[in-house]
Amino acid sequence: MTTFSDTLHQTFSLLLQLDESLWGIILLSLKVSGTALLFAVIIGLPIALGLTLRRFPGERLLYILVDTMMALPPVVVGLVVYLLLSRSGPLGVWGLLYTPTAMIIAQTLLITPIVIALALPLFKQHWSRIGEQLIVLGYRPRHILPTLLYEARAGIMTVILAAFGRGIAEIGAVMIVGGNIDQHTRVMTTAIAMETQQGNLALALALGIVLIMIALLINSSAHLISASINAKGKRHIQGIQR
Amino acid sequence: MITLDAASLIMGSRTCIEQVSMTIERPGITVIIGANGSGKTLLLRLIAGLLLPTSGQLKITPPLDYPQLTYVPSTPVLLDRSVWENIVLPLRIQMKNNPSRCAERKRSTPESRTQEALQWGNIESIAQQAAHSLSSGQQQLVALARAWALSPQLLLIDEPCANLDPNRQQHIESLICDMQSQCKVIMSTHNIRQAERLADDVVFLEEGQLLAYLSKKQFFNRESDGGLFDALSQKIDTFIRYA
Repeated sequence: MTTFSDTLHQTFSLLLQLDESLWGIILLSLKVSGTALLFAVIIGLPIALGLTLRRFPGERLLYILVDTMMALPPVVVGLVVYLLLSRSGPLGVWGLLYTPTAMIIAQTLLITPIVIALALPLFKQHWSRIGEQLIVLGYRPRHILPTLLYEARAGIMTVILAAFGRGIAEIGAVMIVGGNIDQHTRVMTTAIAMETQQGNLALALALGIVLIMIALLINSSAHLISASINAKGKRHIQGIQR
Repeated sequence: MITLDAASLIMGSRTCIEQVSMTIERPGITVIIGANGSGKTLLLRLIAGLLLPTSGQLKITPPLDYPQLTYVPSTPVLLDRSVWENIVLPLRIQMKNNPSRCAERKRSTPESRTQEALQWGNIESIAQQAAHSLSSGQQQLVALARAWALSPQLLLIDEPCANLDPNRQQHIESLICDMQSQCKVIMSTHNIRQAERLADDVVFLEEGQLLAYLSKKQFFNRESDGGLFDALSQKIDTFIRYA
């Protein structure tokens, strides 16, 4: 019991002291997962929109493939990226292995299928409701895409949060391609695993608390942004009418 | 002019529209009537180009692009935005796609046209409300005002007064009457009294087959000719009696 309370005491001390190594790990985690999320959204959402609007042979097969990729084990993704980026691999000349860039690539590969697989039914649902009407109102594909994105905005926010959650919480891929190098590629999950193994429970727990706090912060921000968008829309309409 | 030449629509194993041939060329309001499941909505969607005939042909002369030809479904489809935005956004898109069409509406910006549409539909008071918070009658008014704002040449309306109270029906009927002054209107209904009030000519469908395409006068005041028309006349009488 004493050990547990001591650990908690040390944990909060570390957090309150703004321990430099701790914050370095947190910032790198956010940078890697945030960048991977950005790429996954830029790649994944247009693909999901395209799959919603176009019919083609083998469509169902592709959906099964995307759903399967959503369940890709991070270690497998890590292994594939490792093979690609290792010195003897096809992209070895870039020298990216054991860098944050390699970690971003691995996480992008890991979470892009999640963005596609979760956004696809969302877009399909909205398209089946409004698609025909948009066409008869004279909408062209370039207008349909942003309209559908706006209609599905609440669901898209959830997709983004789910994808970010998957990225920031995974350990297998970043461990393999990043190597958990101190002050270079060490992120929260790899640090937690290592510190726990070394018996440094206070730091491991501090990082665990930060992980949970980040999830809470992101969810709260999403709600605030959503509320702010609605309020802004109302003000805009009032402005036009005056 | 809308020409259907032996147009059929088969969905699965069911023939929903069977060998319909007719030419709609008169201005005013054409009302498609028939019992539930007779193919009214499918015929409207065929004319709208939202379905393609399985066999036969459908031709609109001169050809019309959306939204010169537009369609208002029986359950209004509105965006998850305010009433104002639901009307102004398609107008802005029309302005970008087809500025010449918009130039016909002199000095009319999408915003001023939206204001006109709100006045036309008498829905100015709900302009700022979220479209999804409206009653079904109000949503139908917004859908009609949006269609009116786009100045279509051919407007297709499916069951515009389904499940609406008499006051709202009267309001919507007056708007549809007003619309015919600026465009050709084809609407469907199973309400025979509404057809009598609005129609200039009537398309009568039964189980996907075109039984009659007659002027309002011919349809509602038939005289016996002692021939085939009498058999049809009996069917129309039965429909009128029980509709």
